Amino acid sequence: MNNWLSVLIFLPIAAALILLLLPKRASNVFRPVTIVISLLQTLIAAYLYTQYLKNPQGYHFVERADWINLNLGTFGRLNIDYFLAVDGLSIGLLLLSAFVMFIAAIASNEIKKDPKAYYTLFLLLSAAIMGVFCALDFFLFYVFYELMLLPMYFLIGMWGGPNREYASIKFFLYTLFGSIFMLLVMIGLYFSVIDPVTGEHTFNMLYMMDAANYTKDSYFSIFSTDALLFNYPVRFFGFIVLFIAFAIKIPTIPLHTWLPDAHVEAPTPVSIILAGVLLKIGGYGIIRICYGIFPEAAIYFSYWIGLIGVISILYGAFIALASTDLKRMIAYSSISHMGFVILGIASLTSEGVNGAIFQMISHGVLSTMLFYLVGVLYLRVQDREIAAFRGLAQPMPRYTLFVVIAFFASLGLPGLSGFIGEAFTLIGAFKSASVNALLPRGFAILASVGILIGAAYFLWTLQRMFFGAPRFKGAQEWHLKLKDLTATEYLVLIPLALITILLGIFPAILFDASNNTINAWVHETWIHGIANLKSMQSLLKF
Amino acid sequence: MDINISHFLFISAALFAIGFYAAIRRRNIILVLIGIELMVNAAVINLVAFANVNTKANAADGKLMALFAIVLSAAAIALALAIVVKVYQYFNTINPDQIEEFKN
Amino acid sequence: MNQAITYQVDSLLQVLDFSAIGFLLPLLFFILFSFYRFSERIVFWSAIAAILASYGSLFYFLKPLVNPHQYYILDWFSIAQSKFQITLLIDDTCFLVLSMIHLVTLMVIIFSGYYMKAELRFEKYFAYILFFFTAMFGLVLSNNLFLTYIFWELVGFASYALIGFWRTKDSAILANKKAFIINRIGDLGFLAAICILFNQFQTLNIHSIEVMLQTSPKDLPALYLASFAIIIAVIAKSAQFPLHVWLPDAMEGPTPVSALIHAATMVIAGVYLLLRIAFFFPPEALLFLKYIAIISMVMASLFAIVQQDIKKILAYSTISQIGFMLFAISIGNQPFALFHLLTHAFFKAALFLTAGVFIHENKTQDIRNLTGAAKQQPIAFIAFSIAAAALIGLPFTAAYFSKEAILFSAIQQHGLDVFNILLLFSVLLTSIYIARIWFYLFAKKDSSNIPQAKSVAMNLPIVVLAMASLFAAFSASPFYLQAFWFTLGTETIAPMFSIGIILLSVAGVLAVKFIPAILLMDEKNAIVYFLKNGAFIDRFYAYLFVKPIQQIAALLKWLDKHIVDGIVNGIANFAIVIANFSDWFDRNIIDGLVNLIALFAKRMGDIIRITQTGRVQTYFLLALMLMAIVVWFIY
Repeated sequence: MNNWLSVLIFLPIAAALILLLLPKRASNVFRPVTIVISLLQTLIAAYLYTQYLKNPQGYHFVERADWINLNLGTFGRLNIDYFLAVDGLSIGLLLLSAFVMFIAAIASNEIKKDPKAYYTLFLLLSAAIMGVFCALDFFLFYVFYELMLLPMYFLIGMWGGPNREYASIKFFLYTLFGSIFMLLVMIGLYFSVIDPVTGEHTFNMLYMMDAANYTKDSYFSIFSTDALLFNYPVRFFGFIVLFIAFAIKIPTIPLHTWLPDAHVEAPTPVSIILAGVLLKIGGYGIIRICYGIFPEAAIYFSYWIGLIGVISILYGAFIALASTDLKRMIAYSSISHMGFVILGIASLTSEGVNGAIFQMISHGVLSTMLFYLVGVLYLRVQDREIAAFRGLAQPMPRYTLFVVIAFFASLGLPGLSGFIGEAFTLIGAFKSASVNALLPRGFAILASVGILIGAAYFLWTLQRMFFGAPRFKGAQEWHLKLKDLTATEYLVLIPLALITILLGIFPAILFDASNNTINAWVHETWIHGIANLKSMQSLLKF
Repeated sequence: MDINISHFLFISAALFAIGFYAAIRRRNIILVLIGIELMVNAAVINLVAFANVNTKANAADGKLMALFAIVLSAAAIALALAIVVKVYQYFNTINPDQIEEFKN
Repeated sequence: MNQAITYQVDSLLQVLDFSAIGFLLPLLFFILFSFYRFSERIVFWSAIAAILASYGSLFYFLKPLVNPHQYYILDWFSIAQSKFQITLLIDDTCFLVLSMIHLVTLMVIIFSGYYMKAELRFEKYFAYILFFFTAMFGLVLSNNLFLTYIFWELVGFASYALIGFWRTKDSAILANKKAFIINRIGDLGFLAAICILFNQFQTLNIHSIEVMLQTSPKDLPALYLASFAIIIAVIAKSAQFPLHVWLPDAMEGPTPVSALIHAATMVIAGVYLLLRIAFFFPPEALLFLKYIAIISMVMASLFAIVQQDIKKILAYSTISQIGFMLFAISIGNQPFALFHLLTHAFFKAALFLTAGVFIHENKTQDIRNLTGAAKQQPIAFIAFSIAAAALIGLPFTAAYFSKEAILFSAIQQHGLDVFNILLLFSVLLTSIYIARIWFYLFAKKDSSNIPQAKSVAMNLPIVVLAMASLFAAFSASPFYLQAFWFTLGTETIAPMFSIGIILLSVAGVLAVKFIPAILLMDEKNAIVYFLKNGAFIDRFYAYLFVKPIQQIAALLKWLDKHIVDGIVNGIANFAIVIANFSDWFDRNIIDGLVNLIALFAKRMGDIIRITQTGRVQTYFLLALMLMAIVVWFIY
């Protein structure tokens, strides 16, 4: 059967439709159904992953069909394909997404209000996420990308904390702002690219990546003599616009301010999805789309992209150090960790990009764990302030064990997954100075300072909140409420901890899938980028 | 002093003016009618005056016209008086300022 | 590296036969003890069994006396064009160090049965010790720098867990956080070295790098940078100046932990690493190492002589002794650096464990209150004396050989230069600080006969370790280093030199006996006060690094909230302002225009309506006027 990817995408949609038809009385069915569906998705994704590992190169599970084919008269034909496939870059992220959705479904036991709407939106979100990672037609990608926004808006806005309306609309508008301009570039690319097979315009991303497919006088061609600001070619601006759209998602400094608010106000399962999956779409988008379609701009701007990465690492780490709210601290540490991803991508070395993908997947698992742990505490006493707790290890020792695992994994203790991602992005960034002269060595050194600050805030939080003699803000009342983990919580935390340890000891699980693809990708990006740059620089002097 | 046509015209004008003033400003419909009658008579005097001066063959037209005018005006006034009686029966007043049913 | 045998292993299953169970037992028990509760007896004996099994496996599996160098290589993962492998090297050095680790760990575990009796979370303690043991084991075996780094950090994590074992004690949890963070600084150096070496050689196997270096120039810039980076890592892990500040604080942990980790094993990981990779260090790096070593030695000894807490004295002594080992490496005397590493492990562990006995029995860590301990805990006192003699380097102890040899080679190479004079000064100070403790212990005190614990768990380890500090462990003769179990190196030391050093050490001891001020080390003296507080280096770091970092963090937080987010909210507010303005504009201006026109029409109507009076006379007047106008216009 070759339709696995479509099954992955439409299974939750079908389930959502069924859920919509069920009456409100059947409300205790919604969660089990969602858990089963997401478990199925995880199993399918795992199966696909193992199949992919048998021959880890190129695109697998390709599905291609004509979707929209309109004759627009004088404008030609509108050609949108239903084009799905996965390669080493997306298969790991696909598995991660399915798994995180599964965990989030289990963690949704705290949602009491209006479960029908919640689980329907949840499943819709799941479908959209699967679609984003599989789609290789730009229009299809855009549809799924936008489709993610709406459920998130409602999920945060309806089930969130006290300031949820502000947070959800901020998230929605901010992300939409980026993607609107992406729409413009997408349309521009459509009109610039000719499908070599049919001879018509196309949204096919793979064709967009090959400069030979552009018509000579089109807007985004490398031979275009249109130049904007400072005599930079139009392609650079296409890159910048797309980069901004994904940079908002990752998020990078200075486009990050939606994240702390969204995380703090969102309920735990939504935070998990947000941090575990949605942030990775930004990284994926940059690798696949920005770097894939505009490699020359990527090479030209790699210094700045690396700089943004380093600033994100340090800025996020410092603010995490100053944070007084536990969830906000973890949100900023997420920004810091994603900075490593950007740095790894900017290095344009195979180690760096492999490390970036590993870091994305590792961070997906770890942030799931971290936000769930915060949620456990919040569920008990409705307070997240670090200063309100002291000596939690006494009433909640098992919980503390998982916190220790999560914190140490996040700060990069070897033997756990966070280390591999950080180490290889650093190695890649360092190597970049000698291999392709894109990033100066100082970036790697500054990034490692970020690791040090990471150790500082995590350990300080451990010391303040978990160790020491127990003393809580709510005194006696809290002593009663702070019970150790329940069965559901174990069910969530144990697999996450095991995966972290497993990935830390056997990084080959992820590297085997991504290595070949990324080696080829780095090579292609470099070759094409340099060639494009040469052509463009001979036409426009910049 | 020779009495020429201008004297008659003068009187006619004066009479007309007085009749006009009466028709406009009198608070009694009967007097308004009198005013109108005065205006008609002024026109008659005018007609006769011009007829006298006129030496052409159709000079008698003016006098004839005056006779017609007098008769007709009498008839009109008779009719007007009939209407005034009816108006008085309806409105209970013959002050034209108080009959404002057509206002606005 | 002759006769090296390389085993390329395709999978773990090839090497795991029953003999390897011993290696897995400590790890297994660690997992078990972390999650489940067991009785103290089970935990105690399981831990001992695990260590014994591990050593048994070592002997059987590695056949150390038959094959001198064995490499085991297992493919781990591939990335880019490089293959990362798990590479293990078994050779004499490795076997010696592993033997020492096994022995010391075993002794510490036995001692912990006594020291940590009736402790809450007893099994957790042993779990962490076993975890530490596993990590240290891996570190010693590893021949791949990436793998070494992993174990390096894991050992640091075990240290974190054990220092903070009494986790409700504030001083303990501050100490372990400090230890980990300072170790992290060193780890960054290690990471930098990994990046540099990987960049240069595309591999991190030490053996492969050795081979590559045989055919390449010796003065690559990468080697310079990497060696300095490694030295930074060593400085942090082995508590040398300027990153030594975590070790005295680490004494917050239980004393057996201090014996195991912070004396015998973890802190020597840095020395061990250097023994493995110092072959590519250029002379400048070695000189830098020498400076660090000598500064640490002298500084630590000075700090040690003024302390009143027995554990702090021993901690500073460790710093000093490791400086001594590093000094040996820096002058090229690697075999005796290793030798001193081994002897130091035994006598320092013995010192710590006997200190543990005194602390546990007398409920105090202050040496001024430990008077009369000699009478109360005689076995411990004798063991302490033997170990102290070893530290000083008196004959009949094993450390006599290592110390003398290093001193001799130093002076032979460079004569009496500044370094060597400071070295000798440090030797003097060493005997002073340990003699101080000894004299306090020996002093008579009128005290009632407190029934003393007579437990095998308490006495066996200290006796064994004291024995191990004697010459018999290493040589057949007390005065000359004669090959016994193995060959570590031979040195012929001039007898005069040897006597000179002994006299120097004895002078130190006598100074303590006959100069009361030295014994007392009154804090009212400014110098004493200064040294006792570690030359206020801690506070200096707090002002120079900790405070500024916190201030930067607070500043950035303010910046983020008010400026960056302010801009975002400002843009949103700007949009709202524009929206309000549009609304106002729409309602008042555009709609206003419409209303204005309507108003105009109404006004016109009002004006014209004036003529509609309903009165006949008005209409009559108007008609006549109109007619007059018409006539006028016609004529």
